[in-house]
Amino acid sequence: MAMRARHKIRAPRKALDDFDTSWSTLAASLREIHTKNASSLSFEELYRNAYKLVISSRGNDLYECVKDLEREWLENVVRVRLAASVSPSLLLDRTPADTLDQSNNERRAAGERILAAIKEAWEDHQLCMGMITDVLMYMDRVICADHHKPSIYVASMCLFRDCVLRAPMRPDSDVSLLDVLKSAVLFMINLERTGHIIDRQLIRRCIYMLEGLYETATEEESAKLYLTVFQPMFIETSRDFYRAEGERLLQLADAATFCRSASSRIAEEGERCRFTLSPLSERGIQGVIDTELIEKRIADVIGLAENGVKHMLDHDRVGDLANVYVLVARIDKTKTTLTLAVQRRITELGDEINATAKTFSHPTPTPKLNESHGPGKKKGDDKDKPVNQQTVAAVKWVDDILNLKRRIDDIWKRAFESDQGMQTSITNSFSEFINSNARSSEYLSLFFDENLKKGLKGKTDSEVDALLENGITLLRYVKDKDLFETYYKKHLSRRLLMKRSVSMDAERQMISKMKMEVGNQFTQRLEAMFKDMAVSDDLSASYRDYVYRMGDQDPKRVELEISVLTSTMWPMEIMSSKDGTAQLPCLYPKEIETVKQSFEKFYLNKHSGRKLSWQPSMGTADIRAVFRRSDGKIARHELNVSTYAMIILLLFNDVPIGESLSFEEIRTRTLIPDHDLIRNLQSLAVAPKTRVLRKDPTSKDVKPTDQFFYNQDFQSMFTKVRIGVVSSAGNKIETQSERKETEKKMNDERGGSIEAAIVRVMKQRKKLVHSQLITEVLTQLASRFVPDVNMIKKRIESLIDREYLERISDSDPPAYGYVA
Amino acid sequence: MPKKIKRKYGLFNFPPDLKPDPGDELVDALTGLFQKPKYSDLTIICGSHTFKVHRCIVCPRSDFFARACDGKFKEASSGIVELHEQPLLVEKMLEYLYTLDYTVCDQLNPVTEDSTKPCPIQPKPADTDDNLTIVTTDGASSDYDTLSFHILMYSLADRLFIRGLKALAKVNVVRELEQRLNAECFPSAVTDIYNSTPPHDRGLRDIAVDTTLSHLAELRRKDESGQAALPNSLLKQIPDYTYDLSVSMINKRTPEWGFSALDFS
Repeated sequence: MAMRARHKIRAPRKALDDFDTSWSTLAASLREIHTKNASSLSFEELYRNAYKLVISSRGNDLYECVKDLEREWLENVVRVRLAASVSPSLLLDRTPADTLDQSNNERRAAGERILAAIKEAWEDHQLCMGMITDVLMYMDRVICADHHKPSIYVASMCLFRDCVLRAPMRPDSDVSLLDVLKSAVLFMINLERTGHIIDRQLIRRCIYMLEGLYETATEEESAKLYLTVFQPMFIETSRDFYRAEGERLLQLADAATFCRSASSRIAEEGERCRFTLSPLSERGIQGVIDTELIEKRIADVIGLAENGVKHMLDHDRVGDLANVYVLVARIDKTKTTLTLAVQRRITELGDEINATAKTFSHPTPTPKLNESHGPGKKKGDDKDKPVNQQTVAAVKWVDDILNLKRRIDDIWKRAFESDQGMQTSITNSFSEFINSNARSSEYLSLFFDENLKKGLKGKTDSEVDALLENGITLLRYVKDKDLFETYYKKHLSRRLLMKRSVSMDAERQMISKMKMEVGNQFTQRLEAMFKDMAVSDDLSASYRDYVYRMGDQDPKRVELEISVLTSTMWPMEIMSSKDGTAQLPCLYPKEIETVKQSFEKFYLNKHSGRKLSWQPSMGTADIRAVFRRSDGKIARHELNVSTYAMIILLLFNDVPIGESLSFEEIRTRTLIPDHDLIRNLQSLAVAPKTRVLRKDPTSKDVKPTDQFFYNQDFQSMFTKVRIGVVSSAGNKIETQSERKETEKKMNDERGGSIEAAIVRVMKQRKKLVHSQLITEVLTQLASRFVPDVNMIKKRIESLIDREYLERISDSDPPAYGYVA
Repeated sequence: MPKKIKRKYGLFNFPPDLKPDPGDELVDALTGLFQKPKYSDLTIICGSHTFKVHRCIVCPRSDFFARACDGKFKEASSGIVELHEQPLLVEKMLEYLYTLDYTVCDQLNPVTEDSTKPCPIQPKPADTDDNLTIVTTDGASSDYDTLSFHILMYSLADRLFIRGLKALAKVNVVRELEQRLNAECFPSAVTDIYNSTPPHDRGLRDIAVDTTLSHLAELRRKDESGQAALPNSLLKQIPDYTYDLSVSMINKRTPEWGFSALDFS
């Protein structure tokens, strides 16, 4: 075969016994690398030599020889050189920094020298080992695979660690270079913390070295020298530093400064870890600050009487509060300390607002009010004023709360990052102090009343909307929504009947807002009231048509505008007399009576089976009046008066000039209830600007013995004169006794609601354990009011008595059954 | 002894409407650079031969060249790498780096002209008809043993850290070895394998052992001149080989392994 003749390319034969020769050339070259003369060496040649040794199975020997060579180099050259650049000051002075500046400077200079030397030695070593590794690439592969040894690079790094850093620098002391390095770095960090400028780059380089060296040859992350050797000491000294810092700041600075310092310390340390030390320490050092500066101190800082959180809240220090928030959030997810402080302040401020509202209502001595009520007499103006003042106070109370709310919300948004938990706490605080004012529902309703009557004039739609929205926010806090509903209904009915609302749009808007907030059930009756008003308008119009078609064209005929109200939807109590006695219908003058009967006929014709009951106390009338003054002039005025006042005035049509009617006469001829009669006479004969009648004697009170004259000399700048009825037309704060009345009614109504809820629940469940029944009833009613548990128990008893429910005998825990 | 390589197969002959594979495009472009001084930034000297090569092609593929060029040694500054190797071996190695293949073909060798086994180079099936010629400038035949050449290529690839070439050489060795189970080639191939690779590198050594075990009878049979392909002297001469063989045989004999071993009668 052709091949046989051919000569062959022979593989290199095994080199026998020339290891020493090869090694000594290689070793010489490696030394050249260390002395930075590599550029004259041929990589290929070195590589080939090393390869040959490995291929002839001497790789392991080569590995060990290289290691020895490195050890020797590090011990005899590198370490000696470094030890020489350690100045004595570094060895002696081992306590950090608070000595004189000069020695500080000296020490820093010495530290920088040694750091620079270490850094250089390290970087040289890395570089040289990189080159040597390149040369020994083939050996590394074989050694690592066959002998499970670390690569020569790793091995030489371990040598650097042990022979340079860890070994004692001098035979006579056990101080190692690593100790010197650590204390120099820590010293510099302390310098920087106290405001000096240091060479960050240099330190970072040395830290790189500690990060690049490991305790083990396997190089686990957690075995970095940085983590095992440097970090613990760093954390320790930092802890000491910040412990002292916390104490110092608390003594010297106010809360705002404290928080600012703490924040900037946090930022500084973060930056230090990123640029000077290692990001590995960031978490650790932040933990130190969190413990030493925040956790241990923040409660004190927040509570500082003069400038703590209270002060910040009062002076809208949003920036400072934001600082506090950020700090607290670091240590506590729920931010309890801060939340409590804020809550405390809100409650305090809320209590102040409550107290102010009270002092407004207190100057009017309550007992007198009680006395004056009922058959007693109201004393005109001086009574009127305080009541008005109270109304003002109620509105002010709401305004104050809204202002406080706005302020706190603003702080919450800008300083507390709209924190969810804090919002809940703030809401709770508001709800707490708002409900601690027993009259909150009434005040709030008055606030709406006031605004819907006057406050909305000249405001844009969006302003109106915002205003109502604010009110609704407070409604959210009010627990007894049913009480609010009662008041709102009462106030609304007056607004509707007396046409006092500025804008029906706003009224409707309000209703729909409440519907969204509290629910359908809540606004049902309010909406029914609006519906009645609309139906009444139509009714009035068709009645007018009816009269027109009847052909009764009497020009003197009284025009009628009527509101027909469904009695269950409207708060009838404000229309009936207050003492609750059955009220006799008053006697209407003839012309009015005609119209009344005509309307009744008209209405009952349309809706048979209904009963109309007339409420003169809620109506008004326009009267044209002629005054023949004593100076001969004739004055005409249009008077807008209450229905009662109209009845009274019409009496005087039949009284000759100069003659009078006595109180008694008026009463018997009209049958107007005393209470209303007195009030109407007061506004007709006593109120200074609307004195259409003259009273004898001239006093402020109306007494049964008084005589009344038609006042021909009545004067007014206006053609139209509106004569309000003293203390009845407006919506005002309730007097104490009115209040009791309302409460009593409220309780009755709640009783009903509770019973209804109990029956509803039981009907569905048939059998239920007592405690569960209570819970279900509570949840069902929660949107309207918070029922008293005792009340629920009483109601259950009563339902058992009436055989709607039964006790289930020998059941434990106690349970009830539904009796169908 | 630079050689001209004429390749007639490939993309250049495709009809214009057949679009070439972009991968081929790259390979062809690189192939075009082979042995061209254009863009060359590295010189490889090998005895009297000089190869102009491109760092961006050789360095990413070979840790050896990468380190030679990246380090601070003489090579990095001079841009010259001296290799103490057979020039032909180096040339084929470079050919691989540029073309992803290398050719060992001997026109004077009738065996390689055989239609069943035309050439160690295996072009793509479509190209089987294409010719591939190596012409030496001095006219001398390329006078070497193909099997030995592949073994040495394997060793070189191992030394220079060229993984792809190593794998390719191994495939070639396997195929060649199967053809040369005779007294002349086999002992020297085994010797080459055990001399040119370190013990940890099992690639060729396992092939030698496996081939031996699966052709034991054939290898032990003496030929007309009284020579066996696997003489006792070989076993004595290369202890590593003998060791590997016996371990392998023991493993095969071990009953748990469950397959019947070869009969050594």
